[in-house]
Amino acid sequence: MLKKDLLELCLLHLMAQGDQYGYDLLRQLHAAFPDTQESAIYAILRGLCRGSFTERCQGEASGGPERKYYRLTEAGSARYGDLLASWRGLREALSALGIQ
Amino acid sequence: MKQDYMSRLARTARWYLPPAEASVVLEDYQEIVQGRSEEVLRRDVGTPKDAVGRIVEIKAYQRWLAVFASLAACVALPMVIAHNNRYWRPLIAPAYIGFLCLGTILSLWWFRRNGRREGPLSRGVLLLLALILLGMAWVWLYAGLVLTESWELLGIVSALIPPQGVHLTLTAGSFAIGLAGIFGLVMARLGDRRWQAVYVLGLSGDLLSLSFWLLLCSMNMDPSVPGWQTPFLLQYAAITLLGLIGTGVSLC
Repeated sequence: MLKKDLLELCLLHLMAQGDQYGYDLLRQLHAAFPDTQESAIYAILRGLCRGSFTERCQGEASGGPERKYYRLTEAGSARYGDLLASWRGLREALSALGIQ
Repeated sequence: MKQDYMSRLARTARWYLPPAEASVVLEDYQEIVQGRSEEVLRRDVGTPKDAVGRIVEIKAYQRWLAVFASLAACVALPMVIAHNNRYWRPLIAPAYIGFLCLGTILSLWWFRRNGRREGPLSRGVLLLLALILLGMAWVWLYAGLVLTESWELLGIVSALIPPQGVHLTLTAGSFAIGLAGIFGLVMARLGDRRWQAVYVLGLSGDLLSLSFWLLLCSMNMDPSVPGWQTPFLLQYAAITLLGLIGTGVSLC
């Protein structure tokens, strides 16, 4: 599992909790992975959108400019399940080797 | 500073990404960039080129580059051909019409599918179109004197502008018009697709100047043969007419 897959898993995980604004997603992930630039995280987010794992929707305007948010699709939920399974498998394999 | 970053990002995104993708990315980056200094943006986000480079779809960008190279070649190759064939070659005229048709049709097809129309027509488009038309009018005026065998008037013109001056004006003019055409192409990619009108008219003006320059270089004219002007007249008229039609369609 590459770091890109981990970032993808994190994005899908956050979106699985509910619809998210693009900027909020980037901020949360950048806080968790400070050595990764936001543009790299955004590239993964756009890749998910292009792969139809997420969709970009119009947010409700509250006085200011309308914001767009990202939502998980059915294909995205399946992808989230796959990545989660890979991550768990990797964690178990590492634990079996005594790596905590 | 923030505006600088955003405008550089917009230019980069519009060059590298298809228009729909560029619009989405720029909308998202408006939020990301808001309230942050250039220094912070460079550290947390990267340079505009880094940011766009990470999302560019290589195949889509390569397709655009191939189209851009073909369109630019339609402007540049006739210049290369003209400077390497200063004497009349029967294939040059049809080749020039071919370059014009290819450039016009390809740019219309590409920008109709991959371009976007933005607000009112830019003044820059109108200014460049007017300058190119002025250049083409000058070529027509001088060509008209030659084709109508107005030797006396030509003598007056030659007294005002020496033959080397005419050659220089035609070559430098075709180069400048061609350059304006390429500029129109770049602008059509970065913003309003109607900038392609500058490319189409620039291509037409470039070919018109070069065609007439080739006639002057070769002096392939025999006033003792009636109707010697007809092929040249038809060639120049076809180039001008096709250019004007293409320009009109580009502006719609």
